[in-house]
This record gives sequence, structure tokens and C-alpha cells, in this order.
Amino acid sequence: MQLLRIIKINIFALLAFPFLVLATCAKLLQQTLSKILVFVGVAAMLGALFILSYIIKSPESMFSSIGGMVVAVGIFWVGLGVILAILYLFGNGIAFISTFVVRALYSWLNFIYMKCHRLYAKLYDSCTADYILVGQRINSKGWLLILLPIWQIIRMLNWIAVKIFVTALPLSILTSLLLVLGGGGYMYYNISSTFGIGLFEYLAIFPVIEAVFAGVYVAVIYMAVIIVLLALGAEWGRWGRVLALATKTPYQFKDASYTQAAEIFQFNITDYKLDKADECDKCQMKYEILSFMFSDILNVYMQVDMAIFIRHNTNVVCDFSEYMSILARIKKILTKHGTDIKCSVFEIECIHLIDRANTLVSHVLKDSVAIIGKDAKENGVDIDFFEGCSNSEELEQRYNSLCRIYNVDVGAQDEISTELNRQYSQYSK
Amino acid sequence: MKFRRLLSIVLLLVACGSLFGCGDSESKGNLNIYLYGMPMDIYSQLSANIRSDISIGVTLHNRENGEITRVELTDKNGYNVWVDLPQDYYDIGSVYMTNTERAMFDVETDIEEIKVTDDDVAHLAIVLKDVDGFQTSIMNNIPTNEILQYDIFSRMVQYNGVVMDLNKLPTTLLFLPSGTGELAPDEQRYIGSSSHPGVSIIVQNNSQDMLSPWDCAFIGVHFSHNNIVLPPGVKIGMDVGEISHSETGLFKTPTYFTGTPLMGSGLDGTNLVYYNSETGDQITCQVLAGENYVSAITYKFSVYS
Repeated sequence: MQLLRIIKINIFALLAFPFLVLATCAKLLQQTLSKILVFVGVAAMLGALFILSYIIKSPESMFSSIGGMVVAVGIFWVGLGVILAILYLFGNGIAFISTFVVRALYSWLNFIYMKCHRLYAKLYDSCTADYILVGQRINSKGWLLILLPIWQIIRMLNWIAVKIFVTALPLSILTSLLLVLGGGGYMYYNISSTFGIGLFEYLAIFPVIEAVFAGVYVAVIYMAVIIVLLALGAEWGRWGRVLALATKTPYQFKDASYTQAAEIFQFNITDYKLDKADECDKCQMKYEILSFMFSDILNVYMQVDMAIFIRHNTNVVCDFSEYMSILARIKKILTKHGTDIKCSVFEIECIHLIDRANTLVSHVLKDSVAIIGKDAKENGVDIDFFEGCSNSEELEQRYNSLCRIYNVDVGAQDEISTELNRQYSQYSK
Repeated sequence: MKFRRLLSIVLLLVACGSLFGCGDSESKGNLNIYLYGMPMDIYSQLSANIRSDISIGVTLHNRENGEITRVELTDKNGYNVWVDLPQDYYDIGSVYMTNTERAMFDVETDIEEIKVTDDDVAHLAIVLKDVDGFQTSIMNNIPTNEILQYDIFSRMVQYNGVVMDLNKLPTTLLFLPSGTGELAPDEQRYIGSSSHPGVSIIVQNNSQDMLSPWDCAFIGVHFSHNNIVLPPGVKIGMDVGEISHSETGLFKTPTYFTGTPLMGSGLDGTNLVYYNSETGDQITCQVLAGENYVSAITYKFSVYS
């Protein structure tokens, strides 16, 4: 039996590996995509540099005479005018198409991530459960290492990935600093060893325009790399913090997630209203969903807490960690924009996050109630769906959110749905 | 639900596929392509920059399916490459060497087809053309005591082992201007030697009328082959530092540079200009974009005039 478990763990770990890689890549790309504007800016910067280098490199350089300079400046302003005119005339269309493409890519990456991560988490959890059983029989860590090499590699990779992503921002800052210092140092060393003179002495021998352009060129390239590094560091670091929380032990997770959930709960969202001047139905609806999420966070927390103490489930933990991270991000956005938030700002910055949070919380509630329900069925204990609800408003809110999850039309079990309705009518009396 | 299950199965299959890979049942043979006849002691006399820029490309056509395989022999792989190919007959399409002017040698092969089998290693030798000529060129390129004694602006050059005056070059070598176009006032033209590749004379129309190249003033010489030595021992292919280091360089720090200061970046080329304010002579060492060595040298006379 133990032998079969050992074989199973190794095979499952081997199967889990590509899903881990795919899920990680998809998530990193997705996080990268959310910084698309930064990359567009960097691309524009490099494009301008390319045009400038073309003008300077051209055999009859435009900067060699006053007339040429006038022509160059003229071309620049005409080009800028054309771009602005295109943006003015077709700006909405371009914005719509680019937003559509980015959103579509984002959704696809999210889909790949969700599917791969769910499969990976299932395999990982199954391995973990068996590993605990095998570990009870084989007490030697050395033997476990020898017998379960692939599983150990997967755990190690998981651990390394978490450590790297958690420190992504400090790492990107450090890399940027090293790049600047290392690049500058290398340039200085290269010039002094080749020509035996200092950097400024070297540049002084060149025509001013070439020296200035070289300085601009290096500065722009470095700036572009640093901006990209910092943007990726910030986004990947955000994901790292979610991973770090999700990979804690149930006890550590309970403490850490409670602190976060309490902070979110204490945030009084009613202080932040949509600006009445340009309020729309869509934004109002999303705002109400968001308000409910903030007020309901502790209930979700309790449900997750209960579920993972019955049976650890990586999907629930990961989704809940990401859910809280998104709510914390929305809280930050709302605080930044003041008490009256413009609909346009809310639509661009918050709605996609609210949608994502809504999907996540649905998964979290569904999975956690499934764990609790299964446990209740196995142990013959009924679940109290409305535990903790102190008034009719809370009761109704809980009922509405549970109805979303346990809707027979979307595949929920009929018995759970019936039990939910029975308990609701009992509490409502 | 069905879709989800199907998707899970597909993903599992993809995972299994990526883990175990797809088998390659096609049997392959081994082909060894190498450079034959290169005297390594002579070859090592070439500058490292020139050696690293040499590439010998060999194209093989599979007779059965017409598939083309390209193999590259370089200094880095020791001009010796092993390739795995499906067993079959291959035609030797072309053998082409880059940078022959600076390397001062060329290669060829008289083998037209080769059979690759899985039970034996096939060999394809690329042979060095004119070994003696290569040896002579290398020996001629070693600076003589005579050239080492001259001043950098002496207008002397060691060309193919012979020290000569640059002023006499148009009469020593054969130059035939291509085309019959006349030069506008102040226009310059490079006229390549028809007898000695890699050498050009520079002529300039100093008059106010249109002139044929023959009537223009001879104002300088341009060298792009690796068969010249300028005093005190400057050769094409040398590292920029060997020429322009303020203390150890043969020419010392240039009077000025043109082109990009970001040498070797691929952004643009750089020219190292040495100017003699007394005679007006000017030597320009040209460094191509992405390179760190001198690929051509231009000597112009009395530029101020």
C-alpha cells in the first residue's frame, strides 16, 4: 500500500509540474499585461529614440546646418500634429479596440491560469495528503527524500517561486541599481582601459551632438529597462504576496488572513461614493457588489477558515488570498481618489477588479461549502448556512450570496439547495 | 461540466506529452565537416578580431526531400562541426567564406555529393586554397624594421611586404575609375585599384568646373584589406586600444573622433582621426558599428589646403 502511495505521489508530482509552469507563466503574463500602459510608454520612448538616431545617423545629418535643423524640427511638429489628429479623430475607436484586445488577452490568460492552477492544486493536495500518510510510516527524512524525488523537486520549486515573487520588488530595485552602477562602471572601465583617458575626457573629443546623443541614448535605454523592471517587480511582487499567504500552514494562514480580512472589514466603504454628476447604472451596480464584498469579508473568512481546517485545499486558500489582495487594492484606489469618485475612474480602475473578485469569491464559497458539506455528510452533521447572522438584513445578504453559489441551474446539488431554502425560511420566521 | 472534463483531459494529455516528449523514429547519421590544410601557426598570426569574424558557410541539399541544411565553421568551433542528418545523399550546394579580404585566405571543396549513413561517420573536408599564398601574405604583413622607423605622418606604407611612398601609389598600382562621370567642384571620389583589391585612391575636384577623375587632385589613399602596415606597425584588424591608448597605443589618443562614442554598440560606426597640423595630413581609422577593431584606414594629404 505504501509502495503504491509512493508511486502515486511521484507520478502526480510529475504530472503537476507542467501545470505549475503553465499556471505560473500565465499568471506572470497576466500581471505583466496589467502594466500595459507602462510598456506602451516605454515603446514610445524607444521609438522616439530610434527616429532621433536615424536623423543623426543620416549621411547628410539634418543637424549639420541651420536649414536642416529647421526641417528636422518641422518634421517633428508635423509628425506630432498627425499623431494628435489621429488620436482626436479616432481616439475612441483606438481606445475601444486596444481595451478590447487587452481585456481579451487578460481573460484568456486568466482562464489558462485558473484551469492549470486548479489541476495543479488538486494534484498537489492529493500528494500532500499521501505524503503525510507515508511520512507517518517512514519517519526518516532522508528516505522520504530518496523515495519521493519528484515530489521534493516540486515542493522546492514551489518554495523558490514563492521566495522569488515575494521579493520581486526589492529584487527589481536591486537589479536596477546594479544595472546603473554596473553599466556605468563597465563603461568607465572600458574607456579607461581602451583609451587610457577618463569618460568626460573621452566624450570631449567627440562632436557635441554625438556626445549628447550618446548620453541621451544610454539614459533612455537604461530608463526603459529600469521602468520595465520596476513595473514587473511591483506586479509580480503583488502576486508573490498572495502566494506567500496562500502557502502558509492553516494556523499561520488563519492569523495572517484574519489581520488582512479585519483591515478590509474596518474600511468604511460608505464614506466613498460615486460622484452623482456622472453616475451610471453599471457603476452603481458594481459599487453595490463591492460594498457587499467589503461588509461580507469576515463571513467569507470564517467559512474559508472552517473549510481549510477540515481539509486543506490549495485552491480555496489561493483564491481567498487573491480575493483579499484585490479588495485591498480597491481600497487603496478608493482612498487615492477621495470620497467622490468619478464614474470614469471607477470604470477604468475598479470594475475589472470587482469582476475578478466576484469570480474568486464565488469559487471560494463554492469550494469551501463543498468541503464543509462533504464533511457534514460524512459525519452526519448539518451545516448552519446562516450562522452568525444577527438581523434580517444580514440574513438576506447571506441568502442572496449563497443562492448565487447553490443555484441548481448552474449545477449545484438539489439537496443543498433545498436545505438552504429550508434554513432560510426557518430563520426568516 | 462535460466541457470542463474534456478540457481537463486535454490538459492532462498536453502535460504528459510535454513530460515524455514525442519520439523521433527517423534514423540519423553523423557528418563531420572540417577545415583541412590550415597551418595553425600561421593562422594564429592573424589578429583575434579578424579570426573571430571569419565564417565558412556550407550548404547541404538533401536529394530525397530537397531539405537544406546550413553549417557554419568558425574560429569558435575550431572549424570543425559534427551534424546529425537523416541518412541520405546530400549535394554540397555552396561553400562560402566571409571576410576573405582581411583573413587573406579562401576555401573550397571538390566534393560534390556525400552519403550520410547511420553505421559510419561521413567526412566533408573544406580545403584551404593556396596555402603558400596565405603563408606569404601573413609573413608580408609582419612589420619590417624599415617601416617601424618612420613617423606616422611620413606618408610611407608597407604594402604586401614592400615599403613604398603613398604619393607614388597611383603610378605603382593600376587604378581605373569605374564609370565616366565627372566630378563637381569640391566633390571627392574613391577609385578602387583594379589590380590590387582593398586599395583605393581618393581624388578631389579642387577647381570650380566639372572635371574627369583623371584631372582631379590625388588627395589620399584608402585601405580596407589586411595587407598593409602603417608606421609604427599599425595594421587593419587591430584592437582600437592597441592604436589609440594614450600611453601604450601606437598612434596615441586621436585628435578627434567622429561617429558614435558608443563603440561596439551597433548603433553606428566610429572614426578615429589623427591630424598633423603642420602638414595637414590626416589619418582616419574606421571602426564599423558593433565592432571594436579597425576595419579600414584612410590617409589624406594636406587636408587644410
